[in-house]
Formats: sequence, C-alpha cells, structure tokens
Amino acid sequence: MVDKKNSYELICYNTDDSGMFGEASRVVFPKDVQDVIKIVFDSQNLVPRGLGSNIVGGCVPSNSVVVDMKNMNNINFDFKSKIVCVEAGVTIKELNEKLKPIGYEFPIICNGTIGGIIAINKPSLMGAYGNIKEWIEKIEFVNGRGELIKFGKADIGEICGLEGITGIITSAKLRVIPIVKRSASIFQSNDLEEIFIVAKRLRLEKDIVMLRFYSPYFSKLLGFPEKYHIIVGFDNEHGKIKDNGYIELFNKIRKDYYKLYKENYRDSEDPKFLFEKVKEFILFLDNFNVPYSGDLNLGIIYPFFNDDLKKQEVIKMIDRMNGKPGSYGIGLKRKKRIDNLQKKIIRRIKLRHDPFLKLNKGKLIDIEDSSTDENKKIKKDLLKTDSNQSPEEDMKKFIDDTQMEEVGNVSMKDNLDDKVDKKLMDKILFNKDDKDELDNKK
Amino acid sequence: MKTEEYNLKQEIKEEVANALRNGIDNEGCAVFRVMRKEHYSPKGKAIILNNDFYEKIIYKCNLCRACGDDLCASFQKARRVLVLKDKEMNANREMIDNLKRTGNIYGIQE
Repeated sequence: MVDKKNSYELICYNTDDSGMFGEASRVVFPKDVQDVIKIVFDSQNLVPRGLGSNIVGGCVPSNSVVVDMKNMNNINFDFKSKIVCVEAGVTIKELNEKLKPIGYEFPIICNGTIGGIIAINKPSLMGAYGNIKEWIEKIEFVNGRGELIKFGKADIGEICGLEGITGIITSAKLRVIPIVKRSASIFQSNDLEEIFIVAKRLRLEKDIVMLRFYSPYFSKLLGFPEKYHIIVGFDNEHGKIKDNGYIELFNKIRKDYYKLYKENYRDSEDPKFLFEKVKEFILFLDNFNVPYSGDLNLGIIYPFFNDDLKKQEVIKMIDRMNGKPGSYGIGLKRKKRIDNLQKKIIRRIKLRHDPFLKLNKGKLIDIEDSSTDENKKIKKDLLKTDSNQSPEEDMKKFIDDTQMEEVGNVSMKDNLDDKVDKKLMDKILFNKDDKDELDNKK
Repeated sequence: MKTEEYNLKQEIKEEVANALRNGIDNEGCAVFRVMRKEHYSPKGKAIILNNDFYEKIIYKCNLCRACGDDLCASFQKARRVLVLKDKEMNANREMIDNLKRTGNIYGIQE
C-alpha cells in the first residue's frame, strides 16, 4: 500500500495519458479476488487502474483510493476449449508473449491491461476482429456491494464498456486463435473517390483484417509519400510486405499517433460512423486541414487537433452526423457525448451493482449521492449483518431474539382476542346463533 | 543549490514535460514489467521528475533506452543531480572507490 507518507510514489497515480490531474489518497495493490473484495468493503471512493493509458481521464482519481490491478497477472490456458483465463492486470502484449510459444494469439491488439480494455470495450488495431466484447466467454468482477459476480456472454454489457463504474474486473475467459502468418500491402492515391471505391471492395474480402487509412499529412509523417494511404492487412501471406517488413510496418502503425503528438497535435477524437458516412466526414476534415487516421473496417476516424477552435467545429460536425464514440471511451472528458436514454440505462445498471456509489466516481455519468435514499437503507441492512461478536455471542443473541418473538406473539394473540367480536367468532367457529343463546337461557 | 545542479534540473524539467506531452511507452520498460508499479515505469519516473522529486527511484532504471532516447538522457541527468546532492547508491560509491584504488570496478588487486 502507498499512502501520503511517501508521496513521490503516490503522485504517479494522480494522472493518466489524458493529461488531466486528480488526487489519489492511497494506492492499493490487490493480488487476488479476496483482496479486491476486502478493498471494496473497506473503502468509499475507488478508482480501478490498469496501465493508465486512458486518454479521456478514465482513471484520474478525485481524492480516491486507486486500485492498481497490475499485480493480478495470472494466465491459464485450457487446451481443450482453446480459452484462456486471464487476470485483469495482464497486458495484451504479455498475454500474446505467453501464448506465442504454444502457437496461439489473442487478436485484439491495443495498449492496456485486459481489465482496462474490457472496461472501455476497445476495438483491435486489426478492425475485422472487432471489439474485445466479442471475444469474452466469461467475466468475473467485484461489484460495489463487494460481491463477486460471474457473467456469461449474455450479461457482459453490465460491465464491458462501462468504464469500471459497476465493478472492478478481476478476470476474464477469452477466446484465442491459432497464430496466423500475416502480411500487408499499401495502397496509395491522390483521389479520395478512388480510395473509397477500393476500400468498399476490400471490406467484402474475408481474409482482409485491417484497413488502416491515413490522410496525406499523416502519411508524410509516417515516411510515405504525401497522398492518401490504406494499409491493407491480410490474414495470410497474400500481401506484398511479409515477415520482418510486416512486423516493422505493424509496429509503426501501432504507435502512429506519437508522430502527430510530436508535431503538437495532441488532442484527438474517435467518431464512429456507418461506412457510407465516412467519406462525407473526411471531406469535411480535408477542408478544415485536420490530419487524421482511420479504421475503414469499423468506420472509426481519428482526427487530431492542435487548435481548440478547430476541435469545437469538428465536434459540432460529429454531433450533426450522429457519430458515436468509437474507441477511447467517455471518461471525465466526454460526458456530454452520451444521450439521455443511454444515461438512464447506465444509471440503472450502476445503481444495481454499486448502490453506494463507490466505484469510479464522476466517470461516464454524474450521479448525486442524495438521490439514493433507497440505497442508504440497503446499506444499513448490509451493515447489520456485519458482526464483530464471537459465534457463541451471536448464537446467544439469536436465541434471545427468538424468545422475544415468542413473547411478542403471545401478547399479540391476547390483544387480538380483546378486539375480536366474540359473538361473531362463536357464529363462525361453533355455528352458534342468537337463537341458541335464547334456548340456553330458557 | 549549485549552478550545475540548477541547470541540470531546468533541462530535465523541459525534456521530461515534453516527453510527457508526446507520450511515453511504458510497456517496453523491463523494470516496470517486473516491478508492476507505476513509479517504476518511465512515465511514473517522468512525473516524479516533473514534480521536482529527486529520489533514489531514478536509479531503478536500466538506461536501456526502450522508453526513448530523450527520456533516457533525462534519467541520466537526474542521476547526476542525485550525485551532486550526495544521494548516491552505495554500490555506485563502492564501484568508484574500487576504480580509483585498483583500476577496476571489482576492487581486485593485481
């Protein structure tokens, strides 16, 4: 555990890749699920953290306890079912390094730990493999009540993509595939029309897994001629760039945004459109002189900004075109991008799993504490069960309580007898009428 | 504060702030992969330096340049600052003594 006594360690947890700063009150390093459960019970304001690579402030604390999940890094592979069980602190790079010697790989390639990537539901760099959600078989997480929840595919939506506001992901069972020898080809053109005709055709090919698109300026920074470029990734060796050349190219693409960061383009967006709408958006960006990259398989375009005014204009355009957040998540920075219906649904799920609002406060949606009177009652009930007494004392208390109840019952019965109309009871129980009473008198 | 120390600190601050803005690759760092705590990562160390904390954690770096040449150069400068502040590792001191005494870092007499 790290607390304020050794603050130079704590200061590293105040920020993530977003450049936003908060304040961490403490950092804890759970090693297993039991540790996580204990932490959830003991603390009030928790922020789960993986690699800290979120660029929208997803793991920026606000006087919170940071739960650094990186020490939960076990990997178990089941050969029969070809499913790998991974703890939340394992990075994708580490997972693939472990799987490589046995001939398997996990195709969702991106930066971050498994927990972090599931929390954002990140897509793969090779767009045809989709988002990580599609590769999860089972997931385990500790919710805000301190319960260990295990969900199958059907209920994954209650944790995946919700940025850790409903629970702390502890492990997941993921599907993996045998290692594929991949290759790539590069298509370049000055004509945007031609680029989209080619992309439309390539999207239909089954063995094409990556369609990475670059604007002329971005292409130039990557060392290509100043034209539109599509990097076409094949799931076989049909491409022209193979072996080491492919690995070099892939690594270049993987960290492509660093090139733009160096040119002062440090802010970015990630709108996702239908493929038919992508061209319209790109024409808009070209007119605005905004450099961009994109994934034409998924329809996600990443415009980069060095100017706030341009960014505002582009965001307005994204809203007009109904673009949805594609891969960065919502975090602290982009809460305005969620519509009211989505907010309602997320709020409902959040309160179901985290009624005490312990987890990742202020991320994704804002919920005020005052609206949870009902939850405070649940909290009271839960606290009742927590007893510091010994089992013998508990048992004695239980026996005393039971006796009290019996006494209570008797007195209630007495009271009942007083209130009941005796005539009516005789009529019902013994079938006695007023006539019988008269006969008795006679 | 010595002039050399002051100048070094200014240089480090500029370089590190720039590196933080440009993005730092944590996953490549061998020390971070073993220790698995943020303050052992290149980004963590950069944040520590950017906040004027010069601690011995800076010695926990392989100087392997996996995080980038510029950042690695800053860590080397930070070590120099720590030496000027007499916050040196014992092993380092011993090594230098050995070198002065015997001409080799192990202190083996010929």
